[in-house]
Amino acid sequence: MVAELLAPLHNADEGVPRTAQLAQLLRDNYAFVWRCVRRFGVAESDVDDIVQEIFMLVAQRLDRIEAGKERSFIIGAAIRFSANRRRAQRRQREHQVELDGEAPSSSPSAEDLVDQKRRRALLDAALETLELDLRAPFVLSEIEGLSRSEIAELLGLPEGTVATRVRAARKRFEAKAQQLSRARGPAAIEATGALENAPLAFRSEEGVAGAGWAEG
Amino acid sequence: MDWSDETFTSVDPRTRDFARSLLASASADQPAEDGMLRLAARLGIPGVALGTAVGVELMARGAAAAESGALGGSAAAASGTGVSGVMVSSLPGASAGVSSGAALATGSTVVTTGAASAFTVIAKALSAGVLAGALGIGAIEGVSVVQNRTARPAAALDGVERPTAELGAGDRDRQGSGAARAGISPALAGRSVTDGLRPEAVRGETSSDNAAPLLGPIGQAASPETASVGERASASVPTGSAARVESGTALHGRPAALTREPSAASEPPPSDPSNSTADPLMRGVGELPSAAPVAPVLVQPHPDQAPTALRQELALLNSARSLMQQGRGSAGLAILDDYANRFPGGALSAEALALRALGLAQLGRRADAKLAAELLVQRFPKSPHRARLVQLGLIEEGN
Repeated sequence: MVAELLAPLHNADEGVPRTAQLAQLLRDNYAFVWRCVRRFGVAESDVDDIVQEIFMLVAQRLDRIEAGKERSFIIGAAIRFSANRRRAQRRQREHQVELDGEAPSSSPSAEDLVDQKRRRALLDAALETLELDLRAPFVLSEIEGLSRSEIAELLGLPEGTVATRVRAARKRFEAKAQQLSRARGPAAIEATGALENAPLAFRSEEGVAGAGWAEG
Repeated sequence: MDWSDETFTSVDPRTRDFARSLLASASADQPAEDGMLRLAARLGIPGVALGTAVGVELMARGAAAAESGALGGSAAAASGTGVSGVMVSSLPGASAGVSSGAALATGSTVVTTGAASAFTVIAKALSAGVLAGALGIGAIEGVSVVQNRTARPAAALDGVERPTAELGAGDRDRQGSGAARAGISPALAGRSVTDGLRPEAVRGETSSDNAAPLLGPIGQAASPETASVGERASASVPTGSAARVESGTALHGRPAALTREPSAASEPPPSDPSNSTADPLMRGVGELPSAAPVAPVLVQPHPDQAPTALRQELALLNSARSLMQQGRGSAGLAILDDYANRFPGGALSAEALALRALGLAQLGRRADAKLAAELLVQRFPKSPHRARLVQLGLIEEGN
C-alpha cells in the first residue's frame, strides 16, 4: 500500500530524475526562452503557448536530449516554433489588413516613445527586418547578452558564422532604427535622449533602459 | 556583449543610441510572474514553487526510492532544489508524525521512518523552510534521505528519553552500517551524511540541551490537531521490507520528535502488536501484519489521499507565500482562506496560520495578525514559527 500511496509520486523508475530534470530545465530556461520567443517575433498573446509547446517537446524528448545540450535543444525548438507561429500570424495579419483596410502596425508618436511599450513596438518593428537566422543570433547577442561562443554553441553554428550574422543583423537593425527615428522626426531621438534629463521619478520608472546605453 | 563595439558605429551617435534604447526596452518584457508555475502545472511538474515544492516531491520520491534501494539518484536530483540541511532517514515499515517537519525550519537533522511518511515530513519540512524564508527564520540548508535497513534494537523515536550523546553515537553507528549511505553523500551539497548526523553539525545545538527543543514537535504531534495528519504509512509497507526492519529509528537534532510515542533506546522492539495498540495513535502500526518491529505512528484519517492532499496543501501555501512576497497580501490571504476551507486540520495548518499572521501584519492589519498568531499558539503551542511571530511582536513573549 505504500506503493499505492506513493504511486502518483513515482509512476516509473525514471520518473524521479526525469521530473527533477524537467523542473530544473524549466527553472533555468523558462524566462530566457520566453523572452527569446517574444523577440523572435511571436505576438505577446501567443508567447505562453509557444513556450508551453517547447517544454512539452522537451518533456517528450528528454531522454534523447544530449546532456549539456538542453538549452541548445530548447533554443532550436524556440526558433522553429516561433517561425511557424510567425507565418500563421502573418497570414492572419494579411487577412486583417484586408478586413480593416489598414495595417495594425503601431505608429507611435514622439511622446509615446517614452513609453516602454511603444519603444518595444519600435524594437519589434526593427527586428522584423531580420529573418530568423539573423534575428536569433542578434537577439541572443544584443538582448540576452550572450557571448559569441555561447551563441555558437546554442545554435550549433561556427563562431565565425555567428559573428557574421550578428554583424549583418546589426547593420540592418540600425538602418531600420534610423528609418524609424527619421519617420518620427528628430523629436523621436530627442525623446530618448531626454530620458537622461528627465525627473528622477520618471527615470526610475523607465528603468535602466537609457542608462545602460548611455555608458556603453 | 563584449563584442558589441564591432558595429553600431557607422551611423550617427544619436541614431546609434536610439537603436540601443530600443534594444534595451526589451528588458522590461518578461514573462508573467506565475507563468512558469502555470506551465509547470501543465507539464505535470508538481508543486507550485519549483524551487521548493518540487524538492518536496523529489525528496518524497527519494524516500520511496530508498525502499527500492535506488536512493542516490533521486536524492541527488533533489539536491538541486536549493534546500539544504534537513536529514531524513527513511526506514521502511514505520511512520512518523508530520509535525516534526515544522521544526526543520530551524535547520536540523531528522531521521524519520517509513517511505510514505517521509513525504509528509519532508513536505512539512520544506513548507516550513519556505515559510521560514518568508518569516525570516532562516533557510533550510541541506536535505538528504538516509535509508536504514540495518537491524537494530529499537532506538528512541522521539529521542527524548534517550541521552543525546547516545543519539549521536547511535546515529554514527547506524550510519556506518547503513547500506544506502554511499549513494547519498554526493547528494548533499557540500555536506556528508555523517556530518549531517553529528550532533555538532546541528546548528546551534549542543548535545546537552537537545532534549528541550525536541519537545517542541512532540507537543505538536501530540495535539489532536496533528494526530490527524500523521501518515499511516506503516500500514501499507510491504511486508517484505518491513520485516527486514527490526527497529524503529533514532533521530537527532532539534526536530527530533517524529512521533509522540517514546520508546526507550534500550527497549527491545515490541514483539507484541498490542504493545503498539495500547496507544490509539499506534493503531496504524498495530494493524500491520508485520507491525511488531515498527515505530509508533500517527493515524492519518485519509491515508489514500495523503500525497495528493499534501501536494495541494503545499501548492496553496506556496502560492500564498509568493503572493505575499510580491506584496499581494490580500490575494495571498484569499488563498489561505481557500486552504483553510479545503484542508481544515490540514498537515500544514500551523504554517498556514503563521503565514496568515504574517500576511495580515504585512497589510497593516495588526490586530487580525495578532489573532491569527494567537490561534497558532493555541492550536500549536510548540510551533517553531512562534519565535518569529514573537519577534514580530505578534505574540506576547511568554504568552
